[in-house]
Amino acid sequence: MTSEVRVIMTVNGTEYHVTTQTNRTLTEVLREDLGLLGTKIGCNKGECGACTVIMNGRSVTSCLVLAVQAEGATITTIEGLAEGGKPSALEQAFVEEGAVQCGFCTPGMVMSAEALLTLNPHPSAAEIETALEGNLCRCTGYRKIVAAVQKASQSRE
Amino acid sequence: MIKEFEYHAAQDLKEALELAEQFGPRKRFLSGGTDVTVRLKEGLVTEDVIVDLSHVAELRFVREESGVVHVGAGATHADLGASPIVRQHGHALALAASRVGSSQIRNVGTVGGNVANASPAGDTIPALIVLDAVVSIANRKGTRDVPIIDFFTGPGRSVLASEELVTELYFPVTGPGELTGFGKLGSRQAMTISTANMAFYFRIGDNRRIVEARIAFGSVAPTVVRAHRTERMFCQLPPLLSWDAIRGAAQMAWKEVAPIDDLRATAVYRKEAVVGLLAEAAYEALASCWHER
Repeated sequence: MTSEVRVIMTVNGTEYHVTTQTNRTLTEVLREDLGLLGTKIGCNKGECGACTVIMNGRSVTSCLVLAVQAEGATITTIEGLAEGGKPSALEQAFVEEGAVQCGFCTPGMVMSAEALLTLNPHPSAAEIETALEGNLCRCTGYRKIVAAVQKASQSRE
Repeated sequence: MIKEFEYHAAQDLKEALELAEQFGPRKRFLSGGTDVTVRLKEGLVTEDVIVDLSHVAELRFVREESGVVHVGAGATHADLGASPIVRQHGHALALAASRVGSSQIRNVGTVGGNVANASPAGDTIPALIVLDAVVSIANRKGTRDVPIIDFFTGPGRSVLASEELVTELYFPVTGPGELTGFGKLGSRQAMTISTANMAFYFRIGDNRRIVEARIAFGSVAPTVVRAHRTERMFCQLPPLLSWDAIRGAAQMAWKEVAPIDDLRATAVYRKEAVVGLLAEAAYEALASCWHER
């Protein structure tokens, strides 16, 4: 009954034609079909944010998006941020501020921050906290993550 | 692992309604997926056909026409929270939408889904009730309008028939002298199902008295409820800003709600919570309103 469908989506600037089942999530297709393992599976029900990607300009928990719903979508994952093989300014700020400990939440955290900075290049600390409220980190206590986003915002126009 | 299902993506409203009629009770509508996809994963979706509304662009709008705010069922919580129209003319709804889930949830979750799910804890529902919203419902043959207070029949249940779809919510604009607010209490500040939530509407007369009040509470009864006796208490408040008087009026809510003990909180906790949510938000709104005048 679950039919195979062909989904066309642009991920990190490359157009993919994926044949998949309708009951698979975008997270599963990104990880298993496209090999983009930076997008993590944590709670797998939209609460932890580890699977966050940017879809059509907005942060989404990819575990709650059926892959077939991504038809025609433009998606950016953590692998899409590096520029010329070097970490983006935002990723570099996470490193420099010590905003990474175990690292499991980091890709989702960075993608939520990237979505924020794209819409609002110079957010307040409160705006950063709101943007990141759907991303759980069990190591850092968040302070260094907020500092990293603030640091990255200084390099945005 | 999600169970197998038949999938149809509606491209427009007409197709959505045709699919609704074709599959009737076999189908479940899916929009942002913040509820339905979680339920699919938990094996709680009994329907075997999914009709996807997330590509139906014509349901995603916010506009004001002749003193009425129209919100498409496909408008996301982020859309509502950021809309100047909703922030100005339906402030409680903008506040409620901004407290749903997290950024990621608000970016895809829709107001139509929040209403149609008919959860007693749905955050936009008390706000829509105090704004006197009307639910527009369509099937393939036509449309009907239902006042939102009459829409819900129990937890997860509403007057919506299987071939019907919520298309829009509309409510009169609020203007000068009209105050609305929203409050919510959960186990966390963010990403939490409301243990209790609350919205109010006050119209302030020239004499600084509240001449009309609407108050609604969620998560404290099988559906979101209006609190008529508490509303009357607020209309009898003296024309001066007194925390004790406001807290006293809000105390009536204790008698008007019928919560249960569940895994999120006890009934007694919820009764105290709605009193506190109402008193604090009402005091803050009245204080800022009088300060401006």
